[in-house]
Amino acid sequence: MSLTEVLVASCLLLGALSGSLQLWAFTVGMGSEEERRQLLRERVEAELIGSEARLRLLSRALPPSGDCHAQGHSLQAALAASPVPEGLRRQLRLQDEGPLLEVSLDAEGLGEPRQRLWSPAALGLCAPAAAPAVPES
Amino acid sequence: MVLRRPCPANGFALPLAIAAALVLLLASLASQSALHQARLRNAAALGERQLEDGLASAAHGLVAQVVARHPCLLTLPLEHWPQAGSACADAVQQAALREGQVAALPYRLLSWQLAPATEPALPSLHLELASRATAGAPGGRAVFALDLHGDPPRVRGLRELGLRGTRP
Repeated sequence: MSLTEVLVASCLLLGALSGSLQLWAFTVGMGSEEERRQLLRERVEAELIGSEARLRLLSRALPPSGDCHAQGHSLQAALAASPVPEGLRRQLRLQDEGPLLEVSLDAEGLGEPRQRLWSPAALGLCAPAAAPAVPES
Repeated sequence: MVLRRPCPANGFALPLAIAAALVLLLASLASQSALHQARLRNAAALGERQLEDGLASAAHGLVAQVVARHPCLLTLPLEHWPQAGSACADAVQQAALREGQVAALPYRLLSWQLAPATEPALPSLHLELASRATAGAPGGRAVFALDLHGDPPRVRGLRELGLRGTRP
């Protein structure tokens, strides 16, 4: 075994070890970041499921009404009163069209927010409009 | 002339170092690849959840429009809309209901029909919506059950019956 061979082998091994350590460090960093994001995604999912359950419970408690917008405001107020899980941001907006209650959930570093629309009508809270009379033939 | 026998240990360090270096690099590349796969799986799962959100939102928007403006369509199967449904929705309005957009998600109504009655007192409608794949979101179909009650029938609630396939 010559000295040259030992030196070349050592350099090769050190280089591989250094590169490998850098890759491992990068992977571990990315992995923990991905784990954090996945945890937040699961929290968002759980919050959306919880919101839907709260809206369904409320829809059973409220009597149907002809004023669908008022029902939408009641749903919005009920959701606004529930606490937002730690690390999440929630936006509630009642769209006039429908009306539809828009719930957006977001968290730092998650990118695009999850967004769901719920309609008081589809939850059984709106009395239907009177059907137009069908002309007799 | 003196013949020198090569030392048996001569030349083993370099191949050993090369092998060890390859093992180290391959192991770290494999862990990186596993992380990449996990990220792709998570992204696909998120895309599916967002598709479900979009289709469920579209179903709520569609039901809201039918209840508020076109209640006569509520219990009519989709194929009867053009004739019997013209009492409360003209052709343009029906076309807008069949193919529309809710919360930036374009949808298409594939089916709207009374489900086989398990309980005649509690009829339900099955509606099926489809969306095209858009940038960053897959397309797919989903089925919903609209529970009705009373006479004339009124909406009691909308249930999601799940995705019926996604398209990347």
